[in-house]
Amino acid sequence: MDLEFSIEGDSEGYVQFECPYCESEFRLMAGEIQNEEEYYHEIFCPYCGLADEVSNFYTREAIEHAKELAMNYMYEELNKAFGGIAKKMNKSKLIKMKWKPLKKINVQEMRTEDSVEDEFECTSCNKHVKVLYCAGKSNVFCSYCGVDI
Amino acid sequence: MELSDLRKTSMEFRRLSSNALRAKYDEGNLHLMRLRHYIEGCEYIQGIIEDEIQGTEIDYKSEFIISDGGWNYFNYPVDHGTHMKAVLDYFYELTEQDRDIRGEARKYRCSSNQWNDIVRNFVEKLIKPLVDFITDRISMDIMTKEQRNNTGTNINQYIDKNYGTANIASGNINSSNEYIINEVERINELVSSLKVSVEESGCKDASVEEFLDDLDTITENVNASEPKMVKIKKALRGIGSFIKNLPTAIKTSQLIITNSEELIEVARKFMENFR
Repeated sequence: MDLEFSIEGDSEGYVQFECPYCESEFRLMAGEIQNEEEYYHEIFCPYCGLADEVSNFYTREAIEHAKELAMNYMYEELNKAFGGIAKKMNKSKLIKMKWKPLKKINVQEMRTEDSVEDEFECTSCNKHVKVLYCAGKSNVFCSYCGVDI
Repeated sequence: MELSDLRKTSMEFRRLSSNALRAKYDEGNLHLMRLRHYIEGCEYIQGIIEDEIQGTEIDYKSEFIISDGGWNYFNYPVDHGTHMKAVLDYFYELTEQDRDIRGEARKYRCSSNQWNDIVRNFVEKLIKPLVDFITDRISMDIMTKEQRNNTGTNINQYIDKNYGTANIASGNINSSNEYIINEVERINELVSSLKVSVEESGCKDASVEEFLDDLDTITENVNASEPKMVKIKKALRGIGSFIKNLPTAIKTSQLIITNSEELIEVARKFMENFR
């Protein structure tokens, strides 16, 4: 069973990520991180420079969103199952079943708002990252190749 | 150490540190031992550590690792040098004796009961401060080297008096705005030249209209008192994709490509200097 959801990028096509080590937030261009020609198994945090699998860089909001979608799916399946049982049981004259369907969680589309981060380009691989300007001007690391920008 | 060597050291160290921090329970001490061998084999990192821990003394078994009868926890010293010394002593002992990391990790409280989480929780608490310290020091040295290597000429404009309704500052104001004036002029020249080249090419493609719109957007914004960087960036991206798809059979295509590439570079410098 696969559940898919999409995250809308900001006005320049950047999507938010969060470092599992230092919990800093940064943005990567959706078209570059999700590329059919080049698949990135792991990326580097631009602030602390440590690497991990891409899935560990999802923000807390994205993980919560995924959990909510999974819960809704579970509620739907439970409602179907109990609905079916109740229908069969209520045909009998001896036993009746009452049940209350579970209410789904209201899930909204995820979107990334524009923020104060600035875009920096790596001179090695020409990929882009959005970080805070003061950090980018001093020293940040490229999320794709790990060199310092 | 040369700048390129510093960068390579930074990359190698961060890679080994990331592997150590993501260690799995069935890998044992493998990544920790690799990290230790790298630290011991690199004179530069040894120098950083020696500078920090010089003159510090701590018995990590009694002062750094505290056992309250059930769980162990780390008692982080206030002094950073002492902290690093304690971390190193414990780290070296763990890797020297090739102790089972699961046995050590299990002594420390962890909210998860998965072995991988328990091991990572322990490793992070122990060596993350050391990793952060060394990574930051290497980055600082890289910044210092880059600053020294930057021998570009700066043009400064000295303004002796500050006129206006709110005279908050007093004294001299140094402003390096001559760069910006030169860049605006160059951008205007390049845009005019590109428009002429596009007309001479005779190309009637729809993408040409978009290219000309992007050129107009750039001209409008760089000549405005408050240019909108988002619009300039979008226009530059449009120009980039136009020259990528430009057919080379067109007679002025090479000139268009060369001038467009220069326009992109100058516009980027303008945006950086405008900040």
